[in-house]
Amino acid sequence: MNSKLDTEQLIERLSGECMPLKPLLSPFVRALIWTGAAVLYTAFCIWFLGVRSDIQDVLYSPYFIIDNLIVLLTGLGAVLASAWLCVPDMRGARWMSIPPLLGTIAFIVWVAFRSMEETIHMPDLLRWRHCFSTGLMLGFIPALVMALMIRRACTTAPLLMALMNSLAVAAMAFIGLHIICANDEITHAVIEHLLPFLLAGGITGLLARRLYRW
Amino acid sequence: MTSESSSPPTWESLAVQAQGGDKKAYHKLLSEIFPYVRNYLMGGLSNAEWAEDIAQDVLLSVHKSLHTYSAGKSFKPWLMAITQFRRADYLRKHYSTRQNMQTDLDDHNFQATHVTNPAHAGELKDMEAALGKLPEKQRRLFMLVRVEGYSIEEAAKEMDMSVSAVKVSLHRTLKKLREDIELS
Repeated sequence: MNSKLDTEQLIERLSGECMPLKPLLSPFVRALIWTGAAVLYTAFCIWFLGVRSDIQDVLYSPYFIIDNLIVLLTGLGAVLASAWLCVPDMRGARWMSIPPLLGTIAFIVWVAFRSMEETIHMPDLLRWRHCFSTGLMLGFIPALVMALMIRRACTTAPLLMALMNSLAVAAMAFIGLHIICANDEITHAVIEHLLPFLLAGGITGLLARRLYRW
Repeated sequence: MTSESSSPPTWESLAVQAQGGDKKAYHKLLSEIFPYVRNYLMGGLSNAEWAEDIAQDVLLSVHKSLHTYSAGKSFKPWLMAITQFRRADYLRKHYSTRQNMQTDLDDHNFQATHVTNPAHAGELKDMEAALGKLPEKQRRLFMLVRVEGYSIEEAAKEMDMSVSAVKVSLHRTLKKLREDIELS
């Protein structure tokens, strides 16, 4: 603080402003609220944009199942970490950021494995635009809600929070895109379904201190 | 000040009461945490003004984030997380705006560190005392040449003395000062 406020005056002023506060909801409830809202919103988007035509077949595809299972678990871990770690002392549970990071590593390993199994194709630019706009639609509102929830909680780890938030939003949007888009090629999934979110997450990370300033 | 059970009410109970809108409890809490935070910061910063500024920042942050304190949890980790966050913020801002390369002439911390070396403060007092014992004319001449940077010729002109008389006077003054300081 630059102005040399007299400490006594400051304490008098702050205690004069004291009024009953509404405590933050429990982290579990907050995580549940965001997940519920994000699932409902994603379901609405899927209904609005249409489910892929071959959904009945891919539901039994091991690649489809493993892809989405890893991403789902990573995303849930990231949502829980976001809800738990967003208060100043992180509730003494900083370790909660580790499972989502392990999930991310597992996904990278899985992608590397699939890349060796599959023939690599150059991404289709026309589809890129389609998937990008769909991803933007799927991710924007959950990201906004997440940011508002975190801002209310006063984080002392803005970069970690940006990472966890980005993983949570990216996971939700990735699953939504997988249900909408019929292209299951790994290059398409990574470059066109995931990369935009990673870039958005990187930008969020750069702006994290401003975004979560309190 | 500690928050242990030996001196109730604890910071935990004061924080919970403050969350309920108890102004007196909140005043007591802020009054007690301020010196604690400031002393903690002094340990790492060794700059009283920074510590004071950051501790005030911490009070404001506690005010903004009091709703995030969970009743039943220890208060100190919550407070220290805020303190370290604000400390890092303050230092980042300080160094990013290159404030570390600027100073105010009224900055007592800077003067204490860079202008008056505390390790030599006693010697300066001895010197002042020895100068005080000199006759007025002799002291004035010494100050002109040795402190204010006058040349021998300029000092001679200023004091209406010959150049050789100035040289002799300065030599005697130095000898006298040296003897006085060695004796003290």
